[in-house]
Amino acid sequence: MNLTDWQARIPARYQPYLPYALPIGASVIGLGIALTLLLPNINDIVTIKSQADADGVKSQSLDTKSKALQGLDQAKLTSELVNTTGAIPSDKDVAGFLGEFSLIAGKAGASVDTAQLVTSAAKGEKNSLNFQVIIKGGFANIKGFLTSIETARRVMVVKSISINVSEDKKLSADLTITGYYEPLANISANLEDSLPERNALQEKLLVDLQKRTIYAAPASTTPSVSGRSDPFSGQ
Amino acid sequence: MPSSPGINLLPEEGREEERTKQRKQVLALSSAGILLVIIILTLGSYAGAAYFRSQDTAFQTKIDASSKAITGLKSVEILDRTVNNKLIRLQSVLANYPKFSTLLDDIAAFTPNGVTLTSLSFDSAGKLALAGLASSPANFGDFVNVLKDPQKGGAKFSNVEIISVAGGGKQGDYRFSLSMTRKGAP
Repeated sequence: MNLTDWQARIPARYQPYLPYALPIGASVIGLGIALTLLLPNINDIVTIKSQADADGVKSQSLDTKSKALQGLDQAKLTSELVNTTGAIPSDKDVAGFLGEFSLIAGKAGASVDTAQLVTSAAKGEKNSLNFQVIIKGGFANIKGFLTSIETARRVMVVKSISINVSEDKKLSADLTITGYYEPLANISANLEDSLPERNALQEKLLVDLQKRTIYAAPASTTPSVSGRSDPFSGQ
Repeated sequence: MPSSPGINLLPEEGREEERTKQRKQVLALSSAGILLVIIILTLGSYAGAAYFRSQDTAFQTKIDASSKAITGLKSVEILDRTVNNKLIRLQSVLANYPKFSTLLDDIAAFTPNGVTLTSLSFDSAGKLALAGLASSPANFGDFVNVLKDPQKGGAKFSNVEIISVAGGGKQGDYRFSLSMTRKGAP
């Protein structure tokens, strides 16, 4: 075997391994680079890539929301809020409801005997108020009161009704009426929550609310029969 | 002289040296190749990490800008969500709205002459209870028949039941009470 100067200086017992020195050295250096630089860096890449992907999605959704918010017509929203708050107030407004009962009864020609808050929340319904209202008057007055409640801008639901002939021959109607309120929305801590989208039914509802008047009677669906205008009277 | 295939005339020592040389070259080349690949991969990984880092930084900048814009429009978001919440609530309340005024219209229309009601009650479960006076059994019978007629009362009420009926009052009236269920009541 022809040996160079540096190879000749290596002890004789190691000289059989000389042909493998370069491959072994390269492998050791390669392994060292892989273990100290490449593998940890691959781990970093995976972490950074997943972080970048997540931030990309977040950036996209925030950008979409920001553009959507900038595109909203604040004046239109304010007018819609006035419109919907007329139907569902933002707070309990017990006095407002009681005043509404009194006003409607007066317009219908009935007198309010009792109007009181019974419980602050109707069973199974959040943000609702239950009222007991007792009114007196003729059959037409009671029906007029009901019609006005059903068509009032402020949405109220008559849950039960009991009509009796009182001692003074007038009718006394004991009603349970539920009123509703919806507080101002809470903004969640998560900025990414997308804005609600309005559907066609909700757009129609907004238009219908504006048309809703206190004294517009609902369309009658009573079958055509020869009945009575007041079934509580003897005539 | 023609050579025979498979016969190497080099001396044994020379052939071994040739093979060792070739093995050395292959080992040296392959280890250098592996080292080169590892170096390229390492450099590539650093370049990749730098690229993803810069991409993430760009996203973070966008996120900060959008977050600021959204926070600045908080009042508009509250307005939008409040209107939406109210609309959802209104939809659910008005979806099954019980119209008592039409119920009174129905009862009035189905009450014949000779029958006078003294009480009416209707609960949230759709149960209706009536009590009244009939001037004769025939009038009471007419009332019940109208309520049960599928073209008349039957279109509006079901389960019409006579709870009690008693005749012979001071003025010869028949006192009765009925119960029924309003169709389509929530």
